[in-house]
Amino acid sequence: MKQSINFIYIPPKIPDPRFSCKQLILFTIGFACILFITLIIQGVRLYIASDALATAQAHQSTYQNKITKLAGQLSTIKENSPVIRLQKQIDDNQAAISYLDEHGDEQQSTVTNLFYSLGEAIVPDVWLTIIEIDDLGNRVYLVGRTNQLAQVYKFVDNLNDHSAFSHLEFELDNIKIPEHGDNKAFSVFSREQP
Amino acid sequence: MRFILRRQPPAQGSYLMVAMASASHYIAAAFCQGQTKPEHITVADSVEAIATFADDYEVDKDNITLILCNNSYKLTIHDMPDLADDDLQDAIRWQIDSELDFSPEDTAVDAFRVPDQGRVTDSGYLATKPLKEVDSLQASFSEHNLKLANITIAELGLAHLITHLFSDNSQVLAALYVTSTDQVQLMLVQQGTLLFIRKLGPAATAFDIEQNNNIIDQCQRTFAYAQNQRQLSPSTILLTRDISSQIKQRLENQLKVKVQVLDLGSLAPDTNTLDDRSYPYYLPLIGMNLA
Repeated sequence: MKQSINFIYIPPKIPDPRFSCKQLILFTIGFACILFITLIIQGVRLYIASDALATAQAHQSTYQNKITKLAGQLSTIKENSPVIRLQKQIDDNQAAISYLDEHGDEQQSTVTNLFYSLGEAIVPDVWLTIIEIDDLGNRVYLVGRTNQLAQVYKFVDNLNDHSAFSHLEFELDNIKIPEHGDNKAFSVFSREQP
Repeated sequence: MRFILRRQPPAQGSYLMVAMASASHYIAAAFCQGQTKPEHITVADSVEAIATFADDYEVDKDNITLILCNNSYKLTIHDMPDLADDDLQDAIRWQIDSELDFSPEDTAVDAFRVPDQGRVTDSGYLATKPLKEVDSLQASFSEHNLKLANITIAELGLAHLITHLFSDNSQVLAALYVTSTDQVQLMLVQQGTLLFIRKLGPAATAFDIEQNNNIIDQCQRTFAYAQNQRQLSPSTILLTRDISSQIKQRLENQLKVKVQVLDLGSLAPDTNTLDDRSYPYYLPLIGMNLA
């Protein structure tokens, strides 16, 4: 039993870990080994990861090509699809309907009026076989037959005098006299008033 | 954390031990490592003189042991807490709070256990000293670049000295000596371990028969107590030089035990190095070096 007295208070010390030279060398070697192994593991993991990345990039490229190709096919399918075609026709028809809704009555009214006016201008012994009127009534082409050529001139004069055709000037274009028979063919066209 | 790159060689050089008799009376001894007797010894009348002595003999100034004289501290028997010895100093301070002359914060405290028939017991001796006196001692030494590493008590030094001087230290030995307060003190020691201390009364001259009778009577009672209560039977009584002449013969006659005067032999100081006034302080000093 050790008996001692020391009036100088020395607080209990926490043991200071001490290492011998041999322990220090072993510790250093151990640390170096762990560091080396860690670096190797990290290197291997990096190599595996880069390899996997390259593979993934190759797959991505392949899939991207496939996606592009499929997108092209899809686009073609869409364009050629009966549904799409029908839809396009529906759209065109719808546009036509809309146009007709907006302008149909007006044109109908114009054409009707022109026909009505043609009826007023027509004279006896003149028959019209072809009537061509453009959408806006700015160009009229008439083909017909007659027994009396003077009636054709009268018909042209009636047309030029009619108020419905005030914006037009009619001219006798052609007269064709057949070798046999009395029916003479003629054609009349219009031009816009200058 | 420290790394040892090279094993340190065994420490060489000298170290200093100082026994304090009073503020103006010191015995300083320079020891070489491994030596039991001081290489150099001096009586110093101040700390400055100790510093000069330390410089002269190039001793280690950072590891000085100071042995206090008996009247400068209080040593009492006390129950010890059931703790490891390393924790004793911390624990005992708060256990004895109500018994201290000063608050625990202002008291320097340390303790050691005493065994009973070789077994560790829950009793021991408690040493206390006002902290300001300890601080003052440290400061006075620090002023001269001397660092006190250990401030201890004389009794432990005497116990080690007695054990060292007797080859058959398995015996229980009794020692009678005069303290610095002129009190005769009885100490029981076995194998370097202090077992028992008791003050027997004032020291007396050879002609003071009544006082000597009183000391012998106290000694008898103490022996009876030690034998009955502690089963300690001292085989030899050792007397220091300053008490031997008065009562040696009478102790032998009345206690029927062997009585010897403590003979330092090779440990004795050189002739005329120490005067009679200083000699009693040399004993614990040299004993503490043997610890």
